[in-house]
Amino acid sequence: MSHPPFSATNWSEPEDGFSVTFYEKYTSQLWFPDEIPLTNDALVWKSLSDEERWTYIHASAGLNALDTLQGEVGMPALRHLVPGHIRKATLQFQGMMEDIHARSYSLINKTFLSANEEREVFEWVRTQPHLQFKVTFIDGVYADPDVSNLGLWKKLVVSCMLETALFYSGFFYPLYLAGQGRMVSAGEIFNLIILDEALHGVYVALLAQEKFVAMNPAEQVYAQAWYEETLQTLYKNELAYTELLYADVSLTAEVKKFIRFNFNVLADNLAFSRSFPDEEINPVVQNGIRARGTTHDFFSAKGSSYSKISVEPLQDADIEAIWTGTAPDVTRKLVAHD
Amino acid sequence: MARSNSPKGVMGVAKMLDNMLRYADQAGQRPGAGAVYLSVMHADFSDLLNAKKIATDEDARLKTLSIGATIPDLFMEKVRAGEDIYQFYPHSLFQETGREFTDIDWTREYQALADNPNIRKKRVSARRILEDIAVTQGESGYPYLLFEGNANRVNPIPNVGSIKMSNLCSEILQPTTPSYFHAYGQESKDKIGLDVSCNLASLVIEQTMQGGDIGRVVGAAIRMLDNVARSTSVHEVPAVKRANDEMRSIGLGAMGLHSFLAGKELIYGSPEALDFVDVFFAAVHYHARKASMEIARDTGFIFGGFEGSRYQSGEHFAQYLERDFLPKTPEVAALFEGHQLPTRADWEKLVQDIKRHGLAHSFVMAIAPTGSISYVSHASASIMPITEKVETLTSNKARTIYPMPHLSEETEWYYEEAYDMDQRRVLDTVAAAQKHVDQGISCTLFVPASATTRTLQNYYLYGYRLGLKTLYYTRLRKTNVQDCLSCVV
Repeated sequence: MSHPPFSATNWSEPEDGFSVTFYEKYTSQLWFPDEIPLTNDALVWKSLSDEERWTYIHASAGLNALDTLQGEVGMPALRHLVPGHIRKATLQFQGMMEDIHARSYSLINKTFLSANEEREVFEWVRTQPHLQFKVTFIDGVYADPDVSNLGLWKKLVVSCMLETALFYSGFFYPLYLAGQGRMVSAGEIFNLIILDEALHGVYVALLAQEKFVAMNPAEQVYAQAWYEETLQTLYKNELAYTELLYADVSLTAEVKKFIRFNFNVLADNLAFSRSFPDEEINPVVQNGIRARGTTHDFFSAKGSSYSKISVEPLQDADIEAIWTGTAPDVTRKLVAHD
Repeated sequence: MARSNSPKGVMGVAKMLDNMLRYADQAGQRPGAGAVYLSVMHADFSDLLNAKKIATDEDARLKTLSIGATIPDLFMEKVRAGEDIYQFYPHSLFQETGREFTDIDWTREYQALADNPNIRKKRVSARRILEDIAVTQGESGYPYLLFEGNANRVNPIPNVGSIKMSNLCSEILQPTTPSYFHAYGQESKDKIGLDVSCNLASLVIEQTMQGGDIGRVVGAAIRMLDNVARSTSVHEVPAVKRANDEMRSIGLGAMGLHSFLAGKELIYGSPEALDFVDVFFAAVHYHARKASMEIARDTGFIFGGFEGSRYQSGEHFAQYLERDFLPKTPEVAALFEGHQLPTRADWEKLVQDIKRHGLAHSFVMAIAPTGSISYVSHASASIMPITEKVETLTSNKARTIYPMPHLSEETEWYYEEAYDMDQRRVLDTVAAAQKHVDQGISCTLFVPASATTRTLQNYYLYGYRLGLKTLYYTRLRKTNVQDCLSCVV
């Protein structure tokens, strides 16, 4: 008896048309929360009302639970089941970033809360029924032994639901405050996380679309029905969660619109028709989710647009051209020499 | 500290400054900020760069302290030649030669120092250092670059000292001299050197042009700045107070170049735009200097160091005695219609008057980056291109959404966004203004995330060759998910 031979990752032979691009984008976007001067927000934090602080911290604690789930259960499950070295590597990196996100929320808690308050928040996560329902539901899909096309597709879809829709009830408040110039440093962390999640949702949705196409028509009908039902279940749960989280800051209706908006983005990513009619979302928050970075004031913010750039050595020809006054074309990449 | 192997390097001090400056936050309005400049010839230079990288040790990370690199001509020559340089340990250098690291003239003294086996140093590739600078700029926007040679070649007051550093926005370039302090009871032995007090203001180009009389606007601005300098007394920092009292330096800049050009349907960085910049700043320089002379003449106050300066000898004004700075293109001539522009004859007279009456200010110009003040003035920022047609600015206390002035369906075409431009157009623009600015200009580079270190290094070299004194931040624009998908498909 012999094992099939183990192969190595060949980055010269992409497994599909997009994974390498996503891998490169992921790695170029690498960041750590330690880069952000969170203490800049300390005075603003003190100026928030008790209700505002409660919503802020519990929204992030809920997100912490979801990112922990993704990093610990979701991504390892998908990585295990999705074939292809490059795809596995991409999902693995995504999983690592989920853990970094989880740590970021925890750092925010650590910066602004006392040890007692921190304990209270983490205990809240363990006992909050809607949050626990959400986690248990999705965990159940990840744990489902069905690993057929359909089974894997379900796992991919719930991952997208998290990344593209279910996170956003938590994102709303930090975006809403940062958009008004409050909690701006913590807002930068949320921005970086959203820039990551936007990509994660799209990447996993591309994998899900592939699985969907590979199903037979009957399976597709079943899958679509399952999607609708799951979406409705989680959406209802999300509405109840939102009412609890946002009632004291009087934003419940705004957040619900935002959730529907993001479920529609999810449908777009999965190439399904939208589940909800289009609505205007809060413009402050809408502006905050533009995944492009803003022009930041360096003295008070770090900026979310910096990334690892590729290294390409200066050429003697560049130097020659500049010193003789015939400027080289620096906007175009050099063709690699062989 | 004086024992061998005992100095702890610059990072410990930088880390303290990082924390300390953030603490002073104007009662919570905006965190304090500061910049440190370190020479690429310093053995700790790479440590300073690493402090701004994405993955770095927490004890070494500089979260908000800005960093700048001072780059001597010698280093650029080594980059050009593709050679190695030595980076020196300043304490060892001081022990061997008795010289302060910042006083070294690298062009003249480098070889002897490099050949001296008693001085501790390390050998690195100059191009590699420049590449590391580009990598770090990609990850953080830092460091600023200060081309020492370019700044000092046109230093109008070399008799006072050499230019060793710049400031937080890299537009201040003045000679500084060290201070020496003594213990309690021996304060009388203290020697107070010269630091810098920044007294800055910016003209709104559009309003200045609309007024029909540049001289009147600039004259008023200089007198207001003079007033600011005379009312300022930072006695907590004696070397700043002394510099302000004796040098009374001021810095008049300008903002709204791009929005002005777009409103006039001229393309940023085009030959016409460069023509405008050249004529406009030559005129601002003339009137600023004239006002400074008049203040000296009328009040009897002459800044310390005028005697023996290149102002006194007239050398600093040589270009204006060689030729007129008048519009070369009909488009720009039309813009200046009705304005009285200074001619060679006017400059000749002014140079004579300066010789006779002196100047009240060691420096009169500097072009600051102008973030929020340009919004208030309905102008685009400084002399930089716009970043977005509708800009989103994030700062500590606010997120501002600001559509560019005069943006309309007809003019939209002229509001080209900085990230879409070949940055040589920006560097050309800054170079055109720099000829007329005695201090510096905050010059940001804007590149898409697809730019490589080679792109950035080419811009550094291009700017250096054009005589730019400093480069400010590099700003990067992320590729968004849509772009990402479209390159996939």
